[in-house]
Amino acid sequence: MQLKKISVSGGICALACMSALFLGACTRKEEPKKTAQTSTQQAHDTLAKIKEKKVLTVGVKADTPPYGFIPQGKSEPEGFDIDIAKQIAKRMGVKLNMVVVTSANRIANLTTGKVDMLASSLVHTRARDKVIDYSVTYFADSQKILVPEGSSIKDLDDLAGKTVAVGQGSIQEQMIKKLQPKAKILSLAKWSDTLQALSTHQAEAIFSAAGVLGQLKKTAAEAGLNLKMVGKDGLEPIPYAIGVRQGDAALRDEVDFLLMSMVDDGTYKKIFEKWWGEIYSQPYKVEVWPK
Amino acid sequence: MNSGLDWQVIFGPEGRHLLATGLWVTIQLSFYSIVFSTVVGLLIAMGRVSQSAVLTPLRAVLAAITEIFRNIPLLVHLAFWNFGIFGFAWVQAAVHPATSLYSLQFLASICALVTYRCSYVAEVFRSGLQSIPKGQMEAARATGLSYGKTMRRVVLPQVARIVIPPLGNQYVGVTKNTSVVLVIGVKDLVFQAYQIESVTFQVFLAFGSVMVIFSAVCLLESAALNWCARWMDRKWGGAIRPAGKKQVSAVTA
Amino acid sequence: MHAIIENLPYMLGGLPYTFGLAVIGIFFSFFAGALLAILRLSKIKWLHYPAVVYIEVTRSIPLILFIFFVYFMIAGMGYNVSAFSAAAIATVVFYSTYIAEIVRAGIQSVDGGQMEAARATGLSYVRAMKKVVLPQAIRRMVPALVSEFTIIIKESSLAMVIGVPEFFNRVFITNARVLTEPLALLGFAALIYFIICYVLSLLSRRLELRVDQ
Repeated sequence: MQLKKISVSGGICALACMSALFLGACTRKEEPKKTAQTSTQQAHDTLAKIKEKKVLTVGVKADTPPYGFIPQGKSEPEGFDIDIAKQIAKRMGVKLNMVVVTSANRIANLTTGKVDMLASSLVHTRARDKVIDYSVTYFADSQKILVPEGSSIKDLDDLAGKTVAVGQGSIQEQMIKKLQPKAKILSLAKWSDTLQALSTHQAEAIFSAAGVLGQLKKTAAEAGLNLKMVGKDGLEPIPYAIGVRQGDAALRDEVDFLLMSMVDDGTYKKIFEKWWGEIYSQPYKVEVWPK
Repeated sequence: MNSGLDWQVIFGPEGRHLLATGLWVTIQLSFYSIVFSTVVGLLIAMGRVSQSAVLTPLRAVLAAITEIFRNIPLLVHLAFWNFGIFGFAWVQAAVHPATSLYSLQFLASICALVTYRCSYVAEVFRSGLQSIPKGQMEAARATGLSYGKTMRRVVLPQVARIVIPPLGNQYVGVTKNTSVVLVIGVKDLVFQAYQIESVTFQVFLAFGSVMVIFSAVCLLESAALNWCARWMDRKWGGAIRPAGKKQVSAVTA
Repeated sequence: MHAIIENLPYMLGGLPYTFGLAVIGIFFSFFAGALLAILRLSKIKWLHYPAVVYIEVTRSIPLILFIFFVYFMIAGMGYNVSAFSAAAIATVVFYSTYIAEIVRAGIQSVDGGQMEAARATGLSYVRAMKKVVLPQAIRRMVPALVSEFTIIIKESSLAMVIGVPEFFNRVFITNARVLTEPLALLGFAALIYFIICYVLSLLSRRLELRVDQ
């Protein structure tokens, strides 16, 4: 009876796989056309629609300090990305409508038109650029290493043979494998878990972007655990940019020009120093084109 | 991601390597947890079933422990062992020799899986032991066999027959329980599924393929254990079996 | 100790999510499970076998995979599904198969003679089920259902992997912030779960005794 059950289940599984293969083959042919079509259709109208409705809907994070987070005691998200988005809306002369998104659903929110653009700690990768379009890079966070105060680790080379904590599925997880193959990697669900690993001596260092490490360092300090950021400057910078739909040229140009105007009149410098002043002494050099 | 299904992410060399390493970790975790929870469960059951008055405080302690452990979720056990117990420097030093083979998190996972499962396994053994009529033990002792010999030759073989089907259920439960260890960073099958998904965004394929693999593993496991039960029946057939009652609990977590 | 007292409101504020998941889970699973049980008990081959396969396969897959799958699939299709809803859906889909077994056992435990006697007095199959068999079956299912409810309360802690702010997630987050008192905080979590689940298991045992009368 059990053997019969197995063969029946196996048969159904095989059937499911084959039908998924079919669906997959079909989907692959249709979907890209459909998405591109709806995307470009919506894209052509986006800037005009924004100007007409006088509302700019932006996808923002609420769980990723300092890009977008909800401060203790408040209910609206604040952060670096949000200040940038507010400036863009202000310079467009429209109202800003913030929609909270997560890493899991932000791309889909953009492609299906729920938001007009994304200011959600969005990293510019080649893989993603095939699906959406990006503005110029408005920030690049370089990688650093966070270690306990008394640690002897100073650089990537010192990490050989040591246990390094990273976040599951993060870019840094892939990066550290290439940069220091001799390091032992401990992948935890959230970046805050890496602090637990550090405090229980299950990891000797945390490898991440300076922004993330800055937050972790602050949290640890509040708990009485003193950490320090080491590693050379400018290591493997990750570019962040505003996301718009594939083919949405008008909106992308507008966002680019507005970002550059923010650099021109010093607003960008002010926003940068507010959120990154403690970690970076110089504001990021956003690409500014001559007029 | 609406770019269609890219089967390469699971059938390509990278995908297969990740899934294979994950599967191997899951199998190792299940194996060790099954072995240790059986041993611990049996010991607890034997302790609870014992009749001697001397051991009464032990029985009370064991009863309390099993009751406490089974009412605490697996994740709490896991966090407790990993961040609590294995956070102490002396514990880390004590298990240091083993860490060359298995990571600290792997060891903590086994401990957690065992403490979670041992109370259920103990219950299974306890009802198995209690279903052997006292007459068996008395008769065997009367013919001159020692306590140890009686247990080994008379009681335990009968217990084994009764106990294998529900134990099988528990073992499959252990295998399913191993899926939560990604929370503390053990690179098991579910962890690899998450990895593949985060790089390729192929949700359906990454998690779907792991669901199929898990399903296959657990179904094979129950088939194997069922076969074991039937083999035991043929070898030691004819002994007491609780009549009519459903032996396999539908309620396994 | 200090950490527990300071963060008590925050941590306990996760209990509504825990109970919410369990209540929604058991409620909808009951109907889905009853449906599955009927399909499984059916004599019609093409209803019976798919139900059997579905139940066996689903019971071989851990809940955490369902939670990830449901959440990322729905979010990936563009819907703003909350983590809680995704976890609730996954819970219902998963536990319906276990409830199906409980319902099946409950219905089959009612003596066949009841159905025969009911039909003999002239009641139709449906009315006999509704008025005679099911009330008895449901009374027998209640202890097992309470037991299943306890299990869902424990398994609700898994919902933390997609960020549901339920009780254990909050304890975990608090620990990641406080860092210095893991044993105290985790011990506190264990205590709360123990109190809830132990009370429920006592209730289940008391109900079982009452049913056996």
